[in-house]
Amino acid sequence: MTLLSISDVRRRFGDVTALDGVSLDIREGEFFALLGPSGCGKTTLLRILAGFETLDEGAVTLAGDDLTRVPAHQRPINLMFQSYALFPHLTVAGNIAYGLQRERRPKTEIKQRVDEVLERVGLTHAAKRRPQQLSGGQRQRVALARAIVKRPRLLLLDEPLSALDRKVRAEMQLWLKQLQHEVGITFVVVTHDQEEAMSMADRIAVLNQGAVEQVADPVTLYGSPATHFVADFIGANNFFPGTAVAGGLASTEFGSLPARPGAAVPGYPAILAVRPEQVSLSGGPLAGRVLDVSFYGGLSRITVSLSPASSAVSPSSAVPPSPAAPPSLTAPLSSATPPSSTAPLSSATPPSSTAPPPSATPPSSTAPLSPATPPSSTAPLSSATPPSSTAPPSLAASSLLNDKSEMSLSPGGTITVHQHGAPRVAPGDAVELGWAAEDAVLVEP
Amino acid sequence: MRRVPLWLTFVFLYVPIVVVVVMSFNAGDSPFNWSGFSLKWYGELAADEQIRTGLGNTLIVAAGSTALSTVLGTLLAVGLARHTRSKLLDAIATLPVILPDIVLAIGLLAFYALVQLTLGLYSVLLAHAVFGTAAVAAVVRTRLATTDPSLEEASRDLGANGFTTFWRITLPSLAPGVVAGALLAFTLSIDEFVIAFFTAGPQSPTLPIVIYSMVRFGVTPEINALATVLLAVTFTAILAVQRLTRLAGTR
Repeated sequence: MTLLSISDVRRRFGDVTALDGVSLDIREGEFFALLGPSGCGKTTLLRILAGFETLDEGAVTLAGDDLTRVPAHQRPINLMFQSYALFPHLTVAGNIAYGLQRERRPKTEIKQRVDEVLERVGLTHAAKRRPQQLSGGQRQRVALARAIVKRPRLLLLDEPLSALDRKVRAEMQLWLKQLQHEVGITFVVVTHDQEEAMSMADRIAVLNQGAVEQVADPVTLYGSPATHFVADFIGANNFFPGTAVAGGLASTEFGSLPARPGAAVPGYPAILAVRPEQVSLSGGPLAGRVLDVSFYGGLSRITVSLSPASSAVSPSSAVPPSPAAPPSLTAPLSSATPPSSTAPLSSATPPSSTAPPPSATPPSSTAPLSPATPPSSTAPLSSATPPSSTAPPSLAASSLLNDKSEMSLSPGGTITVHQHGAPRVAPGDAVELGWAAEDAVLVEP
Repeated sequence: MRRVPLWLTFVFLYVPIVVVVVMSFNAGDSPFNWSGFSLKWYGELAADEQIRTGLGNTLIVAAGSTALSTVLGTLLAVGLARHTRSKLLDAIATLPVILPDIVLAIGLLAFYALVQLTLGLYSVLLAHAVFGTAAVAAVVRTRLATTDPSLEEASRDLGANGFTTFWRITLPSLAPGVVAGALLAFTLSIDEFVIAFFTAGPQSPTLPIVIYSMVRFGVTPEINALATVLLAVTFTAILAVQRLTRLAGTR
């Protein structure tokens, strides 16, 4: 059941658009997270819900009632401030009782409810202390107790864990989730920390520049991001630009890459996103060289410099000492030879030659630099050939390895691979990599 | 040896005060020549009708103007913090503290003449409230700068309306600043001479005016005793202000 309904909310501050038509439905009893980088509008939205900020357009209803007309102090909504905003001149118990006193509850009821909530947050012993005498984690629990003692319909939490150190934070994440389950209040937490949102929330709305990019549960958000922003903001990812085709992505440099279609429409530009842990180093359509290996205990992080899919480049990059510019000058010669002649990379080429369907060719012709093309003008790579005649060969050769921005959205034309346990490759190794189609997804650019 | 200039500076600053305090315990009639320890001038002081009247007037003016300044100054500071970001308005609000007394005195006298207010004790009280308000506003303003603005939002969020929030949250968190401002206004009023001289009615001289008229006929050790008492009062108040503003700063 929808508790809070936000529809088409807009808010501008001078020239800055803080919220640009945000619509969200938050369900009763849900742990909901508003996630986004600073300046994405999440705090403005939170302040609108709390009643400290007005909206220019749109509607906000709580259980069907228009909320925008209700002043902050009359809303059945409480906010836990990022700074906690505990009253320094009141004791812990005084802070918690403050909201109940405003409701003019009988003294005995106030005392009983304060004691109850103090026990719930484990601070019964600190009731008589002042906020200044508490640790960060304790202050956070007082702030939370002060908010939940009012039994609000909705509890807003502004960056609840940002003021805590790392160890306490992990503890608090778990505790907050348990508490929410116990008290049954709908939580809306605002955070810029994707880990925090992922670990606690039932559903997450990712905000970017005042608009909602995607609303989904954590697993969907991670596994099936709808947009490039979401795929990039949540977790680590590798990206390949190209055109959506049936069964994957047609990339100008890497040929055909397998992926689920996701939200992409065949024939339109799309970005393929594949998580580092989904990439396998034991064979696949891509070839590369291991640049760097870092071991993090349970996990190894491997950075691989990619070679474009065409057979032309592969041999040159396979030359052990330096796969940089000089050897690549020899590449055009070998490029004329059919893919099958270059033994180690033969696995990479077949898909590229067969995959590109007619829909892939028009967009690829718009790519200014298709590094693979000059040598392959005679090669059987049909998808790449049309623009090849216009690309200057020397530029193309150097761009293979140096002009990263043209190759891939992944930093430096590299791909990050995560392996469980100790690394099974070393820097300098030539590797073939790939992934199953269901482990990669196409997202909107 | 390197500290000698420092000590000399302190001597320069405090010798006159030490002389006054020591001479107030002089047994003889001269305010300069020491002739033995005695508290008799303090007795004379207590018995002096003129001084008692002056002291009474001064206390009425100081207490009244402090009360007025504290309320107005606090509201002014909160209003400035809440509703404007203008540095100019801030400066104008606190200007009367550092404005030359004589300027304020002439201005007030002209103003009272304009509105045809008969001079009396209340005219001094109002005049002192002018710079007192500015002084309180200045002190409370610095205190406000260090308080968390989300405290008031938290209060509203918990169901308090504007008035309750001000009374229960804003004011208590400003309390050290308000008290410090009030003490400052009180101290400034007690020993203020120029403005009082211009705006006091002939029947209601404040203590500094009484002292001035006494000194015109020669300084007696009685004046020294009075100065010592005033010194003690002012010094205590200033120490309290310093302590409270320091408390305000560390929170």
